[in-house]
Amino acid sequence: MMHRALRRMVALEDYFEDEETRRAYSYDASGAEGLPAVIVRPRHNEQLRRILVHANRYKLKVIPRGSGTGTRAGAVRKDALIIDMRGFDTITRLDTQLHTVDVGAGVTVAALARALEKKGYHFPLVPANSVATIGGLAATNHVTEESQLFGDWNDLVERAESFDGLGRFHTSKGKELDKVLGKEGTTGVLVTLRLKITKQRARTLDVFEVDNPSAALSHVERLSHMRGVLSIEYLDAAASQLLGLDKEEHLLVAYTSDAGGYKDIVKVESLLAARKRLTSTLWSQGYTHEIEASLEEEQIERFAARCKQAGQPCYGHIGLGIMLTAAKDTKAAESFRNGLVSIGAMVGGKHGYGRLLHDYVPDQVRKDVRKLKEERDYNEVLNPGVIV
Amino acid sequence: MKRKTKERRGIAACVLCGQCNPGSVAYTRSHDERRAPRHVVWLARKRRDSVSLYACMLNGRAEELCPLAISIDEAVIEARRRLVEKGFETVDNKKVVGQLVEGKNPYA
Repeated sequence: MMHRALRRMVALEDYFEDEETRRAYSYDASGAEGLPAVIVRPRHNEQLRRILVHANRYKLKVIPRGSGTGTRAGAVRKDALIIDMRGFDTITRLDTQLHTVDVGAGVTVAALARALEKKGYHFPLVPANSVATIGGLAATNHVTEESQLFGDWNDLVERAESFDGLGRFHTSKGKELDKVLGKEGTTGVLVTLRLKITKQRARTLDVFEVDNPSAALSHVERLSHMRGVLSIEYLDAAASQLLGLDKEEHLLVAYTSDAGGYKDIVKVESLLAARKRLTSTLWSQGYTHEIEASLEEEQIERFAARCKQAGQPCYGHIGLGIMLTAAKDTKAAESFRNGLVSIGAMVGGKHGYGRLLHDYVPDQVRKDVRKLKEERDYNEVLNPGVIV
Repeated sequence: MKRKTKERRGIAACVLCGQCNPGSVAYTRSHDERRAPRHVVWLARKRRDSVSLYACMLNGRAEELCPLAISIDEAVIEARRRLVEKGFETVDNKKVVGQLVEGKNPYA
């Protein structure tokens, strides 16, 4: 009954309560499962507002969802009302003077890239999975290699429009963006984002052979004073081999300038594409559980040692202090994460925490979100079980 | 024409990343999750009987997009075979087979 009223709020073809569709929304790329109660796909702001007001009235659990490509179980929950945001799939305005584009939260990375390519632009952060939606990436503050130069989503979103848990509309700019970006749909549902776009691309590349992560860090120190450094990626011997490099540790540095030694654009693009594919290459080797950690300089060496001990690859955005590894099963991943906590590392955050990494959310993050929820979602309908 | 050139994996290796989804025209046009190649693989893996297994056109596009080179089409054919053995068939399927048995145009 509570759900049936939703049927009148969207078009008939955008309301799903049949078991087959519910099953199709019962999982995401994390492997977690939970059969939702109903799925709605609003296509404009008024529909979404009415849905959220209704959910708030009946205290329904609302899960905003994009393509379901998240690996942290943020888009799955039993008995929830799933709001499929892919109805917001339009790119409304491209401003070549201000270098911005207005994008619906349901637009995929691939669709945005195609639209911008025609004008010679691209969105600077390029995730490995091009099926992911812009809304999902912004909600998880998704970090990519290019974050080294372009920063995180707070730096690349000029304006965000969202609805809070009470169905109130917000336009956020500047510091206000922090109230909704990276909050994994717990403080609001993103509908439209004004993104900064660029024409800057990787033009050259350096591949340094390094003896250990400490040696890589000395390069990072030097590179941090240079302009146009797009990405700084560390690869241990195993990861290097998967990229077709020698069985040594390497530092892969991409530049938007001519500073790099590799100037053949085909070679540059091919190596960077191989780095982008590394996660899926590791899947094919059985390393299906990615683990990321935000580390201080002195923790990076210990992280690498732990990877070696566990027989896992070690790689990551060393310039940003974000290191990655991958385990072959859930138990090994959990044990590795717990080991990281014991050395004081911050686990997760690069792709959000979702339900999977709920126990690893830092206290301050939890406290901030709790405070925001008191203001924007005091009935706690939005994504319960995530972050707080 | 031989299409499958790379070594393919079984559906057990699928990590449900969804990168195969744009390979389905039905899915990209409708965003209907039941028609997503990822869902078809999920159904086949769970051995669930579902009419959605017939949504796949077996054109190989989803396989080409799969970063793990999973043999999606083969899994779908196998799942359909299992459905038929269990007597689970779509109305359209029955009609086509009936027409063929009678020696008539299956699509008439």
